[in-house]
Amino acid sequence: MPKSNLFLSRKIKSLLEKRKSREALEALVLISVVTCLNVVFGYFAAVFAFYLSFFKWDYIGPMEFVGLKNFMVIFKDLWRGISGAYFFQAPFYTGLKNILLYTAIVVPTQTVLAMILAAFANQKIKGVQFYKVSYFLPAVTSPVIIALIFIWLFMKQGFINYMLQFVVPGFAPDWINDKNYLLYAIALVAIWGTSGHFMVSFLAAMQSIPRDIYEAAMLEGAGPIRRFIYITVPMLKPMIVYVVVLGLIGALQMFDLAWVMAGSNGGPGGAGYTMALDIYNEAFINLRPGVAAAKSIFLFALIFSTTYVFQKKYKVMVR
Amino acid sequence: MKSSLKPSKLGWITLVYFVLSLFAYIYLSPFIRSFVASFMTWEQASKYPPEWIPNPFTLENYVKLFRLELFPRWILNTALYAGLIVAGNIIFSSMAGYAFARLKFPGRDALFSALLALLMIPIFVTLVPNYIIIYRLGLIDNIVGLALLSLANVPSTFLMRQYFLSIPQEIFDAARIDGCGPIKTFFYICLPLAKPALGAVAVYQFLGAWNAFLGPLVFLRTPENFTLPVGLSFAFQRSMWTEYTPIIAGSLVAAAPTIVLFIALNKYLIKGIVIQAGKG
Amino acid sequence: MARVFLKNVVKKFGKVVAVNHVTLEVKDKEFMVLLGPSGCGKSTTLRLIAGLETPDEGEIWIGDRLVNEIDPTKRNVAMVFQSYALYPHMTVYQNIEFPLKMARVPREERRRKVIEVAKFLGIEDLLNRYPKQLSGGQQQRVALARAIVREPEVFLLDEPLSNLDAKLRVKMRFELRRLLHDELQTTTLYVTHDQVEAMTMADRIAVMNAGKIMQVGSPIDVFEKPANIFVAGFIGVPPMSFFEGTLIEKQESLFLDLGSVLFRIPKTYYSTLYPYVGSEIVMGIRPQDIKVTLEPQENSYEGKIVGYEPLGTETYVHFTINGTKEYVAVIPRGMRISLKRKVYWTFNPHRLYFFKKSTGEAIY
Repeated sequence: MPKSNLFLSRKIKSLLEKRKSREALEALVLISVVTCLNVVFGYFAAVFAFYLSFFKWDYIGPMEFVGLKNFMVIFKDLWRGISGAYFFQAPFYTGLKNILLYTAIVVPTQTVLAMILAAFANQKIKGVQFYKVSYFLPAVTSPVIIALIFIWLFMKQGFINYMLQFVVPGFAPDWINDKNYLLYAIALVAIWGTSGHFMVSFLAAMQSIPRDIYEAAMLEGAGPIRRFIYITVPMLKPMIVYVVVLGLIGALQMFDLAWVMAGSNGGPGGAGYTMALDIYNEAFINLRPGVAAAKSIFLFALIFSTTYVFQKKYKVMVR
Repeated sequence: MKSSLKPSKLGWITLVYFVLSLFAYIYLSPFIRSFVASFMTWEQASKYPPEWIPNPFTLENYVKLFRLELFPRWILNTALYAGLIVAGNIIFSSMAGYAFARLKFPGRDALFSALLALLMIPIFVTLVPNYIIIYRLGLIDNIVGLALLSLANVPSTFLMRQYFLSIPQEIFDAARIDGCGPIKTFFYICLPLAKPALGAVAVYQFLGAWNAFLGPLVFLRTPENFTLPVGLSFAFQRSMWTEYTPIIAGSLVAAAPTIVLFIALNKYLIKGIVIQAGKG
Repeated sequence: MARVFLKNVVKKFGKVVAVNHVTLEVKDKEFMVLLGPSGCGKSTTLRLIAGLETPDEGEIWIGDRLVNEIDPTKRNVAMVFQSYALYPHMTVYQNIEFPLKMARVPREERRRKVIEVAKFLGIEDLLNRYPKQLSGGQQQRVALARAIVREPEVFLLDEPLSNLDAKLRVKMRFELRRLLHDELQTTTLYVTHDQVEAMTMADRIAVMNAGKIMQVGSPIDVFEKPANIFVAGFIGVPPMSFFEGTLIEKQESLFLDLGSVLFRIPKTYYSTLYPYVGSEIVMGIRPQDIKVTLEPQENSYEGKIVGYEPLGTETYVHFTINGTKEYVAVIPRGMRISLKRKVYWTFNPHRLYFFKKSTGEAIY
């Protein structure tokens, strides 16, 4: 037997006997799958995306280094969009514009709605579990399924327009086909689908507020509404930040709803076109993965900066 | 809380019930409408003002669904995918969760933070590169290839780690004194004790996998291999049936498992989100 | 005039009757302590007065108002909670200011009052801190300040000292009494399970057990003249020793038959006890009134030491009489005893208490 083998096997044996190294070794085995998969499909992929953004490629041939050209495509698109070009000349700009508007509608609304629902659902009354289950039901359903159902409901002669007659008679737009209303339809579906989930988060936070603080406030003259304003809302601040950050991350990347309700082309006049749709199209329809990678980095920067600024402003870090 | 019903108290309770019920209606009516309409003909379902009683009561939408060869296949594919994800996460995330929680090895905390940091990367950044990797592995259009991506994901690992951290150190020490190395401890102590957390992981991963869309859309190419969400949206966009009611029926079938699961477990699920939110 | 009057108040939680037909009057400016073991209903009674619970039956009066229907936000009572219930997201200043803000007091006046109260309690340096940065004693003073600044009609305090360490507790007992009773002269209801607190602080004590009031009286009254076995055994440290037996008459003298031992009852009690000859009664003696000696004395009984607790200034001795129940006596420092030693004990004949066994009522 060669000397080196003996030496090696003896070394491993002594390693296994030493408790600390044995522990480390077995631990590494236990984390191996998680680490490998996530490093490969997470970090490696991200780095590769970054790398890819500097290349021109069509998946088959060689990769051609083009420096910042892909980013120039993005900026030219944005430039054209700002100067008022039509959707098909400036898809990325349209996607960006739409998703920002969408986020501005969805995130505040779903946060406030979730908080109010949680306040009501926090009352100790009979049957409150039924309500909690009802509000949360949309959150366990696939967004695609929800979108398919809502397409039917949003039809010109559909259920939603019917219900609207009771509130605003005469107002019954063709949500899906009218470019002025499509984005709002998508936004409404999003709020409907996710507010239940965040309601539960707020409920959790509310229930961790000690009861005697409310009692003290009660004795000091604060009625239910003032208790909500002065006690509940300020003490919910960390959870509000959490909900908004999660909401931002979800809204800026919204894909499923747009794909179903607007189609991969973004619907009439590109009204339902989002950045996510654009990245998908770029990668799999136009077959320009380099540009797609560049756009995804833009999206990442957008998400990161908005969530970072928000967390900084409210001095609470989510992690 | 208050047992006597003063007029103002009664008014308040009525308001609360009114608001709660109003929103319950808003959140439930799409489901109820869909359920009712799935038994109607498209002609009746598209009537305005909408009708609530199927007349005639018909199962033709469901028949159409299952007559399409693809639909049962989609159910199968989705079940297979969900099964793989659940199994993978239960096994691998619990292993890693235990190791990160209770074992000492170099770089443990740094590595864990690095894994957590991954959560910040939007899915679109890694989508195309992952597609290329899976493509190179020859696993495109294959449920296994798709499952590989989320087989052992970070949130499950985080959950398992939190759970193992909440088990007192003494139990692990006792196992060590009794002669168990880390891997033995995992199988004899951790797994049996972790049933609640494993249940939570199983449920959340099942929900996520069953409802997943973007991943299956990109990584599955031929209609035979689609999962339910992708298949249904495909059917919709290709207008596979001239009417819309089969799509509604299909949506309900797709949503049924998750809804049933949720209603059965709702107490635990909601509690689980409560606990996770507390940590977040 | 801010008296508090509870008339026949009942409060049930499901099947449990927490407050069972309680009638109690707290006079204006009086410092009343609600004393009793855990679960006796004293905190519930306090919360009923505050309005945090509503009574199932009975009337609650504060001053000359019937407050049953009045919302807690409007009852003009201030409460200090056991956990202090300080608002964690507000500074000390904002905490104290909060009730004034709710009462829509203008800002300048709020500022003036908050600073005045803070100075009064010695916490004016802490006004910009947050509750979690304060010690237990400081937090308590903030809670007090918050209550005081409102100038309420009634103060309600729910075991405010139980979260403090022993030394601080002794100091604060004295301070609280001085502050609330002497300086502010406001009607106060104070809940505690610690009878030393009750004895040192109260004008009157209401002893409660299982939702009922056992006795109301000044500290001396409940100590010297307990109305029943419960009060007799609850007040006084160490607790009173009880001897159960039958009252018999033999040769013109009364004896308490404990089975193994016959006590001769001093003549002074004959007139009150005579009607009870033949029935079961309980005799109570405070450990301080039992005298233990190493040599037989006149009228002494034999006993055996089974345990002792040396406290430095005195020692508690546990002894049995012919192997019966354990009783406790207090012996002065310096006396030498050891386990299993035979001792002789007598009692102070003027300090005996007698109770009916069936109802626990005292016989005077």
